[in-house]
Amino acid sequence: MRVTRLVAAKSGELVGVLLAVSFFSFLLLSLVPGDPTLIVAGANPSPEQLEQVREELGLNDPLPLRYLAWLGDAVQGDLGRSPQRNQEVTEALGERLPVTLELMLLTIFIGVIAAIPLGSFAALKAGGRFDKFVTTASFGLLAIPGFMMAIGLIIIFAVKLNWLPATGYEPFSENPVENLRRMVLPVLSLVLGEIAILTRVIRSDVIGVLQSDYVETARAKGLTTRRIMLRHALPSASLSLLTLVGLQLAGAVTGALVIEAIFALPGVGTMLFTAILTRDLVLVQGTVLVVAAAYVLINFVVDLSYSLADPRIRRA
Amino acid sequence: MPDDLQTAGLRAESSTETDNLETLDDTFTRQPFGVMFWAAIAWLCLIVFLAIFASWLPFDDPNRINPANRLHGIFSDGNILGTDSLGRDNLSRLAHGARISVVISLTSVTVGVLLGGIIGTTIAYYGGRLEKIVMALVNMMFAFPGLILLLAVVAMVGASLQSLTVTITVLSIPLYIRFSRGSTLAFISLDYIAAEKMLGARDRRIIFRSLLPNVLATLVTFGLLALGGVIVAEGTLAYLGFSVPVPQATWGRMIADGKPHLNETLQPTLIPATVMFLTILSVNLVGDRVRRMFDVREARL
Repeated sequence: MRVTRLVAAKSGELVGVLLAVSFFSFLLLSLVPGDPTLIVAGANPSPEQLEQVREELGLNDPLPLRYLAWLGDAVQGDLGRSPQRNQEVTEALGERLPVTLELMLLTIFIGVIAAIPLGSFAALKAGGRFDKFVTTASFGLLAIPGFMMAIGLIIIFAVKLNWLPATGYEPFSENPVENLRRMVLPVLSLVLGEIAILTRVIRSDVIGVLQSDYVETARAKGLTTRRIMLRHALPSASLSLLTLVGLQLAGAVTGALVIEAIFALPGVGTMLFTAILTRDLVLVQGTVLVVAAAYVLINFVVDLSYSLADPRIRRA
Repeated sequence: MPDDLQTAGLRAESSTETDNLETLDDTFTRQPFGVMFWAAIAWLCLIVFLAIFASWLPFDDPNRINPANRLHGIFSDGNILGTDSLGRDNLSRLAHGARISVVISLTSVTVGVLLGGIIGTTIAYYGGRLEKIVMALVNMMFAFPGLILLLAVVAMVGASLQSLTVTITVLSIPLYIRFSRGSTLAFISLDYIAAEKMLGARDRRIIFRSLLPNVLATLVTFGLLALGGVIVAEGTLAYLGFSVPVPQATWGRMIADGKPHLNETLQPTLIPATVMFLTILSVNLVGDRVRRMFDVREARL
C-alpha cells in the first residue's frame, strides 16, 4: 500500500519537474537577444519567408499559448525542424543517440565491475599498502577533469604509442571489433574518474559495515572473510552504491557529451556543440529538452529503486 | 621534463598526506596541516598572484601573434614556458587565463556561499510554506543537468566573463541553499537558540548573529570543495569553445589550442593541463583538509 503511495508521490514530482524542464527548453529560444525568426530562418530570408517562419513558430500568439502548442508537438515527437540540417530534430537525435548510449553504458558497466573489487579489497585491509595505493590514485584521478583525461590518453595511446585511433567512429552493426577499438579511449577517459569515485564510496561503506556488530557476530560464528564480504558486507553496502551509480549515470550524460566532442564521435554531444556553434537553435532546444528529460527520468528511476530496495521503506 | 616530475612528486606526496588523514580521520582532528597542505596553499597563492597582476608583470602581450616564433619549447629565448602554435607566449597566456578561472570560481563561490547561506538559514529558521516553496524550486534546479543548462544559457545569451560568472553563480546557489538549510536545522534545536528566543531576541538577530556564523563555517568548507568543481566546469566550457570570446586566453582553450599540434610538440598542451591539474588538486587538498578540521561530513550527495 505504502509502495503505491510512494510511487504516486514521486510520479507527481516527476511530472512537475518534467514540465519545468520543458518550459525552460521552450524559453531558450525566447531568451535569445533579437528576433528568433531571423535566427531560425537562416541566412538572407525574404520578408515572406520571415512571415512564414513567424507563423510556423507561432510567434504571433501569446507566450503561454505558444508553450502549450510546442509542448503538444514535443510530446508527439515533433521537436521542429533544423533549418541548417534540413532535418527533423527527432530524426537527428535518433541517429546520434546510439553512440551516446553505448558510451554511457560501457562506462557505467566497467566502472561498477572494476570499483567493487577495488573498494572491497582496499576496505578489507584499510591502511594497508593496497588501500594506500587505491586512495591515493583515486584522489589524484578526481583532480583530472574528463576532457584533460581524454587529452592525456590521446597523447599516450594515440600520439606516442600509436596503438589506438584518436578520433573516428565505426557503427557496431558494421564492424563490432573496430567499434569497440574506437570506444576504448573515450570510455577510458570517462571510466577512470568513475572508478575513482565509486571505489572511494564502496571502500568507506564496506569499512563502515565491517565495523558493525552483525559482522562481528558473523566472524564469531567462524565464517570466512570471503563469505562475510559476499553475504553480509557487500549487499548492505550496495544500497548507497545504487544511489551513486544512478547519480553517476545521470552525470555520465553530460560527461559523455563532452568526451564525444573530443573524440569526434557522432553522438548527441558532438551534434549539440556543433548546433550551438552554428546557432542552430531549434536543434539546441530539442537536444536540451531530450537530454534534460533523460537526466530527470534516470534520477527518478534511481530514486524509486532506491526506496524500493530499502527493506525499511518497502515493508513499513 | 620538469613539469612532469613536479606533478608526479606532488601526487606521490599528496597521497601519503591523504592516507594519513584517511586512516587517522576520527582520532586526530587536530593534527598539523603538513607539507602538502602548505605546498597547495603556496601554489594557490601563486595562481591568485598571477591572476591579479597578469597585466602589470613584465609578460608579453598574451594575444600577440608571431608566426615566426611558433611552438617554441620551454626555456627558449624570451619565452620561459615556450610559445603556442601562433607564437603567443605561454606564460603570459597562463597568467591571463588564471584570471578567468580565479574570477569565475571565487566570485561564484563567494556569492553562492553568502546568498545561499542567508537564504538557506532564513528558510530553515522560519520554516512553513516559504521553506516548502524554496526547497521545491531548489530540488527542481537539482533535477537539471548542470553543464547542459550552463551551455544552453551561454549559447543563447553569448559567452562573456560576466555572463559565465552570473550563470555559474545562479546555477550553484541551490547547492548552497540545500547545504546551509541542512546545517541550520541541526543548530536550531540547540539550547542557546531556544534561550535567545526566550530572552526575546529578534528573529533577525538570531539569524544573523547566532545561526549564520555557525552555518557559514561549514558552508565555507563546502564552498572550498565546490571551487574545484567550478574550475573544471569553466575549463570544460573553454575547451569546447564556449567560454570567454577569442582571443582571450583561458586554460581550457590553451589545452584545446594545443591539441591539433600534439604530433609536433606536447608542451603547449601539457603546460596548461599541468597548471590546471595542480590547481584543482590543490583546491581539493585544501578543501579536504579544512573539511576534516571542521569535521564536516561529505554532503555533496
